Amino acid sequence: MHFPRRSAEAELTGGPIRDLADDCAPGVLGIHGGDLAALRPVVAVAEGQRVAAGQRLLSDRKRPWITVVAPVSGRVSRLEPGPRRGVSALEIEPAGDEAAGFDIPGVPTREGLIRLMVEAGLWAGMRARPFGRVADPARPPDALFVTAMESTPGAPDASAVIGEFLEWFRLGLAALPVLSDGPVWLCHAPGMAVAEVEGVTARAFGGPHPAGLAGTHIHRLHPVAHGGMVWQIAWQEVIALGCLLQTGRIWQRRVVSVWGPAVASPGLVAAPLGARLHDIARGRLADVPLRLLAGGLDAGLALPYLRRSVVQVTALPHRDVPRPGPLRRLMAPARPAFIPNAWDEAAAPPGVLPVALLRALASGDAGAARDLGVLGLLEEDLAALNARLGGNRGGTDYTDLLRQTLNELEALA
Amino acid sequence: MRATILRDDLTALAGLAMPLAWLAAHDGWLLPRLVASVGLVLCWQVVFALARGQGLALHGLVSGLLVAILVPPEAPFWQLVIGISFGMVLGEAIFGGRGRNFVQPVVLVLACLAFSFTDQPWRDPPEMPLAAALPALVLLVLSGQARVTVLLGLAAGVAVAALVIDPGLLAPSPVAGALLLALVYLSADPVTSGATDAGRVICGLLTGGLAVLFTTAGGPLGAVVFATLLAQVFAPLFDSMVVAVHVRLMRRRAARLRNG
Repeated sequence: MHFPRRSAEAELTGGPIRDLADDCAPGVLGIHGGDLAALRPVVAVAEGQRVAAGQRLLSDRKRPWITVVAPVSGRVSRLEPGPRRGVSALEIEPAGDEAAGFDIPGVPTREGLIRLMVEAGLWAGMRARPFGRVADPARPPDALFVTAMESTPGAPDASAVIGEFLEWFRLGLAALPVLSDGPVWLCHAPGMAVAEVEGVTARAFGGPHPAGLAGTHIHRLHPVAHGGMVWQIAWQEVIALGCLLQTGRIWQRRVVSVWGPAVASPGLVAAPLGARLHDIARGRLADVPLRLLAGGLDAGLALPYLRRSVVQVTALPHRDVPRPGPLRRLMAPARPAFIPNAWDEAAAPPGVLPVALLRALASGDAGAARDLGVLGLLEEDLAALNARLGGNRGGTDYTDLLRQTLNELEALA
Repeated sequence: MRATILRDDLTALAGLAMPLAWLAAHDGWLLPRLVASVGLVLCWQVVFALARGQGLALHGLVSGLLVAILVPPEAPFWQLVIGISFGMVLGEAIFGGRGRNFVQPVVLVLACLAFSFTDQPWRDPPEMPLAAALPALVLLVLSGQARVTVLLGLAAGVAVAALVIDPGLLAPSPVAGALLLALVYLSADPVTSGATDAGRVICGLLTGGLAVLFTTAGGPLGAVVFATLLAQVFAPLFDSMVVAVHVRLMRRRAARLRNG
């Protein structure tokens, strides 16, 4: 596991897309406090209220462009207040098939498109670098990156899924250029049939992970580590935008791959945002004790519900770790040190000096970290390196340190 | 982390198997020396594990074995005890253990012994054929610990300095194995020999050049040890110079890509 992986391209999950609703009775959909981190919500619904798909559930008090809409129609079965006037849990019991309709502007204008995407809850999929927050519509980016590929092992094969929804993808892609003052880049896998769209420049990225991360593309084409700001949007959000523009209703699905060592039959599932991970993976799992992660092996989080930007559910066999005895406690360091190794450094994001960057992060030296290019990075870019150093298994978590450093730099900016 | 024991610590130990086997056949005092130095290193590790929660790294075993291999057969044990205590505590443990030190502790042990006790041949390496140390070189490079960049710098530094000073120094020597072992484990230590690729090359060049220069005035092991000590003290400086250049290049690249 710690020796280098095969440097061939990662194995992606393809095949037919099974719809969650065909397989089982729709379970409860939920949004949890962790999904709403840093959000000061204004709640637009009450417990017990019926909601239509696309109806606004909550929005942010300070940043009104962040909205959360109901992914399907149903009844708000649970609405639990959280600390500091937040929301700690919101659950919807699916029922019926009402959907809110949106007015599609005839001539695409920047303001019109932004208003539509905010109303339909799609704007939350547009993220800005540096810092990785939901983009502020008032500050146009220097460039816009559409990530139309995946490279983490087991992720959905973006080219194949886009092929299924090609019309919507093209429609969504064609609408995006009005948002950016600069170029719009479509970053895709080498084999993908590229849609010719005016105002969008396509670039193919091959090779092993992290070739499919937006951070890699941004570093290659328009780096923001030393100034500037770009937006990035994932391919499923573009499909959702295309669906919205064509039908006037939100796309009630996201395509997720179920994959991992504890999966018997890996494959693709179309499930609404907020679906329980266990519902998504049902019927595909091996008969062993296991746990589910939202995300890949490196960056996956133990979440109950599907969250935006998660394209993969990974099932790992679960082993009970015995409580360490006195000798084991003596052996294990309280804070393990970082020992540089050539194979680990090979998993670093492009364009950084890994050892110097990790040391700057670990020592909390935000100034040095900024010089070393930390502004061009998000957690997902550092996840592979962090996993190799044991950060996701109880060691020093460098993705957490990265977020702390980014917060510090954001407060200074 | 415990998960890296197989890759890092066990490969480093495996690399020492051949040198130990060769020495065991030629040196009657090897076993007591091994027990003493490994025991003392582990003692200090336990003290710091209990007092500071630093944990017991298997790499302490490698350090203990390296000291036992690289000191002369007739070395008095009381001097060894003082040297190991000084090097392991001041070179590693007080900084928080392996990974947080800035000089290789075994280098500090050997430097302390060579500097303090002139009545013993601490600066002279034991006889060992080159072939006995080659597996260590291969294992450490393949497991990603000894960097190719440092080793290339070392080779270039030694070759250039020897050609300038005395080409005869490059002739085959009966102690070549021990010197290679010292270069691979001590001069190319992943923690202390630079944190950037260019910094590692400079560090290797300096170590190699200084080692040849010091050989003209004393035993070859002492030359390698003091050259390594000096280069590792300067390694953070080289790294910060490399980082400054890297930042400038990345800024320039970013400006070119944004405007072009």
